[in-house]
Amino acid sequence: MSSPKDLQTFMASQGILFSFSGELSADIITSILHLLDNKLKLKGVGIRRKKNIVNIAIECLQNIHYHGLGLGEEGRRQVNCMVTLVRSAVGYELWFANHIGVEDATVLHPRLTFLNSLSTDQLHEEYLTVLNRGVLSPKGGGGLGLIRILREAGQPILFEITPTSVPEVLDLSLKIAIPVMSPALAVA
Amino acid sequence: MNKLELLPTATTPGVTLDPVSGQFSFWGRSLPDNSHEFFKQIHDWLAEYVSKPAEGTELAFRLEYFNTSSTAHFLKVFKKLETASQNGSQVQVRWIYDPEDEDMREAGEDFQTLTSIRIVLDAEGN
Repeated sequence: MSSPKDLQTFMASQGILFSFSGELSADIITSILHLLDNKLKLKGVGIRRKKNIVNIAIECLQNIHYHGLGLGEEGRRQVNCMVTLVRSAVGYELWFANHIGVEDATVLHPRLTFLNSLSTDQLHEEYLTVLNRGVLSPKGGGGLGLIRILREAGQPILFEITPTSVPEVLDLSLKIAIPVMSPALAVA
Repeated sequence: MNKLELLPTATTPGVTLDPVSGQFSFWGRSLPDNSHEFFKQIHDWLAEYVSKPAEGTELAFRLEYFNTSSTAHFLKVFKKLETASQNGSQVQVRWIYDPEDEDMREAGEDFQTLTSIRIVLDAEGN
């Protein structure tokens, strides 16, 4: 790939509609959400699906911002992440990648595995239970974010936690599909 | 007690809380970076209001986007309004949503399940 045109052609061939890679901040999150919302509006995506996608992006980006591993120099917490919106055969996919610490991974892996195993009704019940418990962390979260992501997507989150060259740093990748039609129809 | 008015920003909702008329509203986006900090002023204001509420209290919610930490704070607001109701105010929440936005309707239904105050689901334009 040697030119902007090559990059544009590659992104179009992969269905990549939007991609950001770099340091996250509250302002950057606001900008990403604004861009995603507008991009989907211009694509003519219906309100429900547009909001599903943006709501998932809200929860993922704020989670990464609060809980992602900061690797800044001299004590500065710098959280980097990659977020990509892809058009797929059956709808859209949001991809996220960031670093997490070993301790967070030991909590996240079983929690995601458990939530992925729940039915739609069970997820709803879990959401109401956690919401009604009313316990918020100092960062404002209450364990609702992951549940909401699963409810918005309507299917399991594909995730991978892999080691890096630094023992205490792990790579976390999330792939969240948001179908706009039933897979059966798309195949037909 | 003074009226609380907050202008909307890209990440925080517009808020009006009028202690005399009992007319309250939240609108816009609720995605604050620090939800505790933003909602503290609202919880503090309501804590005072509910001890001596207006005869009627109507809260209109018309939100485009909100994050889950805001959801938890909204529930706290509704729970506070239960106290206003116990103290003699006729409390009603109008949960206004776009008719195409089923998720927003479901969010309103969830609050109906979790609180005893009257929440009316209002499909905007219908």
